[in-house]
Amino acid sequence: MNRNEAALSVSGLRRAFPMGRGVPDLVAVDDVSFELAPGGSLGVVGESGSGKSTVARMLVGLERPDSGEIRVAGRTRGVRERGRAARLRRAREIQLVFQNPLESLDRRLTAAQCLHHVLRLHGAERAEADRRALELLEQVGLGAREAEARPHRLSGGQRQRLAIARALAAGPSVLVLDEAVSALDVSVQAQILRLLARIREESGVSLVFVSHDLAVVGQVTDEVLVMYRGRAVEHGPTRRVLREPEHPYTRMLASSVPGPGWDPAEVVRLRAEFAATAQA
Amino acid sequence: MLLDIENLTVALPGAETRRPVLDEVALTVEPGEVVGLVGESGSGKSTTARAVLRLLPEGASVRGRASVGGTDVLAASPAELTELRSRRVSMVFQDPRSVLNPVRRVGDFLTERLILALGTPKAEARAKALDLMTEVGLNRPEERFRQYPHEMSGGMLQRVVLAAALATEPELLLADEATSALDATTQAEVLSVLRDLRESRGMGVLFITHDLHLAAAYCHRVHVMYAGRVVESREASALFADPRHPYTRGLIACNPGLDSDLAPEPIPGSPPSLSTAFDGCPFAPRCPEAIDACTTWRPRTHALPDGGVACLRAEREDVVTEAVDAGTEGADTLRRDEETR
Ligand SMILES: Nc1ncnc2c1ncn2[C@@H]1O[C@H](COP(=O)(O)OP(=O)(O)OP(=O)(O)O)[C@@H](O)[C@H]1O
Ligand SMILES: Nc1ncnc2c1ncn2[C@@H]1O[C@H](COP(=O)(O)OP(=O)(O)O)[C@@H](O)[C@H]1O
Ligand code: SF4
Ligand SMILES: [Mg+2]
Ligand SMILES: [Mg+2]
Repeated sequence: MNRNEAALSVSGLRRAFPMGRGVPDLVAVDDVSFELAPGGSLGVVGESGSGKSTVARMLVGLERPDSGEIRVAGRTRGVRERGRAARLRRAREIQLVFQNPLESLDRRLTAAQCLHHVLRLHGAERAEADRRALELLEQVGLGAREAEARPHRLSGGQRQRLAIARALAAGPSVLVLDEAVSALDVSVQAQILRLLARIREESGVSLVFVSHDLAVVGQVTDEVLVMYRGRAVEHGPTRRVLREPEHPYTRMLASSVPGPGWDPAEVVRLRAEFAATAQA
Repeated sequence: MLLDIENLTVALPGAETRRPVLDEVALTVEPGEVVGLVGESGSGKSTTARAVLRLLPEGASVRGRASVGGTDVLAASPAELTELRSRRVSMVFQDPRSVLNPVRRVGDFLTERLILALGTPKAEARAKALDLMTEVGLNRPEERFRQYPHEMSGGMLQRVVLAAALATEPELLLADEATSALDATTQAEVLSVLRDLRESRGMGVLFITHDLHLAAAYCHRVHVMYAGRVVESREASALFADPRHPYTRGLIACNPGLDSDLAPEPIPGSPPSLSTAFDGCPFAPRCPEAIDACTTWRPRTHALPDGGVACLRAEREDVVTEAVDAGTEGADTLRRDEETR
């Protein structure tokens, strides 16, 4: 990999959904571009329906872009690649972690088996897969008891640790997390955020952190992309964007985060004001 | 006093159960007041709300008192209980879709509630429902009236549920994580509506949330719960300025907030299940400030000017500070005593 090359580079991404006869298409993502440095961390924020998950789904290939390009380490991610080798290579490029891991984990497999399975899929020998599975479990803070447990026997936080370990098992260069800590208790949330920071440091994986929780995004990302109705309205260093937002929409989003001086009526006012200018 | 809970202790049946789910819980809500109840999941917040309506699992044993507007909930007759549940107290939960029937129009959901709970004549119910929808900030109510739940966003549905909850003009609203599933903007919109309605109606609100920042910003007073106990009760503004219980400080450190440069610091370990009993302070195994005496200290609430705190060290510090402030003889001894611990 070229040293200056972005781990992930996205340009002109667009996706529209047909809404039925006589109704114009819903443009869920419109001309979104960004770059992510190796080991970097990008937040994608915006209110519900702004297109965050659609971006995440296009990154991992669960949704096909109408246009635009996604490059991982300089290599364009094709949409029509077929065959096992191509599929596995794509998996090694980008992995996704969802909000609700129960839906994405195989209920029949124990934590250790689940990791073993993914590792074998990616070509590890049996013994190597066993060794690596243990290593991954330890890396995400799951012990021997959890290693032998099936997903429904794990707590929400433990399940999310397993989902992260499983994503890492593929050896991805980019990890996409879509509301991955949103359903967790604050203390578990803090544990997972800390885990992600450590994994980023240790493995150099780049993170795309999708969330509507600005405070959490502020804690784990260096850069942030603010989405409104499918478009990126602001993009810059997280600290700057969240503390001195330039775009009125970002200002409205920041004002809606509960904290000292929070006034819900003020949020409503800013939102109405913004909606009025956005219509015009 | 609108809601008055005193030393409420609830034990659930079951061989695995080693401690009460609620342990001497005390809290109050005045008319027109919003009182927050925060804590990690499993701390007993929802059980407290359900206890107010005597909606406890079969076989639960209950001690203590809970009264709503003078009605003793635990001693209420079936008729009084029905009156409480259907009219005087309303409850709103996190997931509106669990309350709404997916194959029925939202307008019918509202009119049905009016007809059943208030006996509103059918002809009037529609107009009343439309008024309610306007009141909770749903635009184009005529159109919304005919929509099905899947045609509305989570924020709109929560407004519909709120409209239904307010239809009976309740004295008390129990909001259990009512805005937790919404994004911050939508949450602010729903809470802005709720604030106006509460003020105009003088309704009291028990506001359950796991978000301490939200509780501090939205409520008048906040109770922090841990393992079935209220460990700190404070004026909302004091909660962040001067948290007194190590658990409250721990919760704040987990999410330092948008304006902070601090990294999130988790509380070590996890909250105890009902199969764990304690001889001393329930937080001791996770408390970074615990001293030996904490493992045998019998939790009790020490009064503060704006509430109370149930922590051995907080209590001692407070006693020392008071003694020093009062220039009491012996303050030095007390302080030395404290420092050598
Ligand atoms: N498969 C689909 N068919 C039709 N519309 C879709 C589809 N997927 C997404 N949309 C629409 O695209 C828009 C963006 O949705 P998306 O899920 O990306 O939002 P989001 O920012 O992730 O929101 P949230 O914070 O609620 O998760 C929404 O209006 C949504 O209804
Ligand atoms: N009906 C029930 N049967 C058994 N355990 C219950 C029941 N309801 C609640 N619990 C237990 O009681 C404790 C407190 O639960 P809850 O009041 O729901 O907490 P919170 O709302 O703070 O998350 C938890 O340990 C929970 O598992
Ligand atoms: S009583 Fe002791 S263990 Fe409990 S919170 Fe206070 S200092 Fe910590
Ligand atoms: Mg989403
Ligand atoms: Mg609950």
